[in-house]
Amino acid sequence: MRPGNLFCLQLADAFADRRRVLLRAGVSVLLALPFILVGMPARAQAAGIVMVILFTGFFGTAVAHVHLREDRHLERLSLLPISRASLTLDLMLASVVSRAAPTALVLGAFVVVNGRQISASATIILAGQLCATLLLLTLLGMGTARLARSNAEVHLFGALTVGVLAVVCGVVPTPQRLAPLAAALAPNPIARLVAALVALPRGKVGISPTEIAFAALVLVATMAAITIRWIRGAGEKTQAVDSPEKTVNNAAARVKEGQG
Amino acid sequence: MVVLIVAEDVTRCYGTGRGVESVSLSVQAGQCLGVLGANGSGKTTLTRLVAGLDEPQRGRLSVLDAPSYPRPAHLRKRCGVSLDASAHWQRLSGRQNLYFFARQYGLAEPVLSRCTDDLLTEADLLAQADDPVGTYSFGMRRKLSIIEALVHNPDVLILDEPSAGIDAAFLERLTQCIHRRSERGQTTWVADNDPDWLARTATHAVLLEDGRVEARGSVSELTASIGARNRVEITLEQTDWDQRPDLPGIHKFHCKDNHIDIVLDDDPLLPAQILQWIVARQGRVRAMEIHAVTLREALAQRANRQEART
Repeated sequence: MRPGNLFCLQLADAFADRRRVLLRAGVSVLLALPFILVGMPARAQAAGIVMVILFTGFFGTAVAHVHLREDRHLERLSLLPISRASLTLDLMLASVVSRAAPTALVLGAFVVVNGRQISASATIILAGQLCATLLLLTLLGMGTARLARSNAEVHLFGALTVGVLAVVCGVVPTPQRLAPLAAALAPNPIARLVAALVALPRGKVGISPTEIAFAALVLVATMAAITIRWIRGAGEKTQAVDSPEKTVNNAAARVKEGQG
Repeated sequence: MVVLIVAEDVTRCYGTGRGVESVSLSVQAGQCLGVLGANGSGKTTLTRLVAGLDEPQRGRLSVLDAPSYPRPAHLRKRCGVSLDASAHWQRLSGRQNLYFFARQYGLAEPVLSRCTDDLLTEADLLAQADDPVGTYSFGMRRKLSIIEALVHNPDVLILDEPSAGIDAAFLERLTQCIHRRSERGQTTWVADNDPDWLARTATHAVLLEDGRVEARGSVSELTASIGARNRVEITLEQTDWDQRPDLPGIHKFHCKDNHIDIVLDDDPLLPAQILQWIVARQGRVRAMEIHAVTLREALAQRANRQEART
């Protein structure tokens, strides 16, 4: 494909190496497999699945963004006539899409194995919570990448942040002292995803109108943004055009002609 | 004359003490300014400031009649920048990378495809255009980076170390391209370490030393202003000559058999005066050859003088 914007460029780059894509998805699924297949308390299962999503979504984004900076891609992009908001949006959406593939695979496998007669509403809620979680993790990952000075530092920051998120979002049991904080952060998508996954094996995913509306809104807004950026940026497949011996000057003249 | 780049007392220093200090210069439309200097003299720092990547700590730097930092999108569109390190998406092909940059500068089909293919041809990259950039050699990446900066025919082209790792054929085409840009009234900023190439390419040059402008002007003015010395070789009819011309501006005089070798100031009148002086003392000159000093030789002479002083 011919990437016409940063969103398509990042996606083309992320999915260019199939072996790498398969390895990444494989690692996520392998890590999640015990929590999907082995019988254990619903709470432990949900915690395991969400930890895999935290690592894939947050860690992956933070490390990828530090690489973008260290490889001087961000610097190169800042010279282009694109607004900072557009750059950030494209980077964020591309990151969400590339992390969505392995995490959706993990969540899908969990639902297939453990979900008892899962309704359409519960599916929307799970998909919406996953989408909101990935958006939040991407934002946090990009923020952490800004703070970290090097690749080594981002791994340290990443481990710390995943630990803190796991505690305050109730992925692992929250200490008594942090209970008020966890209660205040209860509406966050990670905590909601944990709650939905805990309820899933019992077939009791809480279906409130607010929850469905929120999940649907997040899904539709994200899908709309992704579709718009894809349509604007995706070109036809690359193919060589007959290239006569032209000078740079001729090319420049054509450019002027095109701009005119 | 329209001045596109103006620096007044520009300072940008780093914690290590490196950077640029009190730099003042201007580049007019149609000029190609070559920025020369030893490693660590501040070329890249100054180029980054002009490119709009960093902000001066002191002084005023304007590009295209606006402060260089932060540079608004409509002015970024009129600039093309190739930095000293190539930043590409390694898993994507050269064509995909070039296509992305071209699209960001507003180029549209069908001009875009033809233009990118022409540039890939110019850079001898057409055969490898669909290979991942990760498989490219250093020089191929540099060439790709340069054509990415050229793809939208910018009013101001900023190149940092373009000659590093580049083959002679492409370098020659780049020289011609820069000359044509100058004829069209477009401005080029080139920071490079190859004085021979810069002397052929740039209309003007500045020499940086320890972050300060040491000399400036047209390439010949710069060569003269850094105290360049020419060499004159004289072959005489007689073999017993041993008189040294008593003229100011002569630094070295060596005579062996009928051959005289003189190192002298870059003064156009001095060789004629030497000839006159020899003839007036019954010297019979068979041949005389003047070796005008190149910018590279002038810089080497200057470095040697500085080394001798320290």
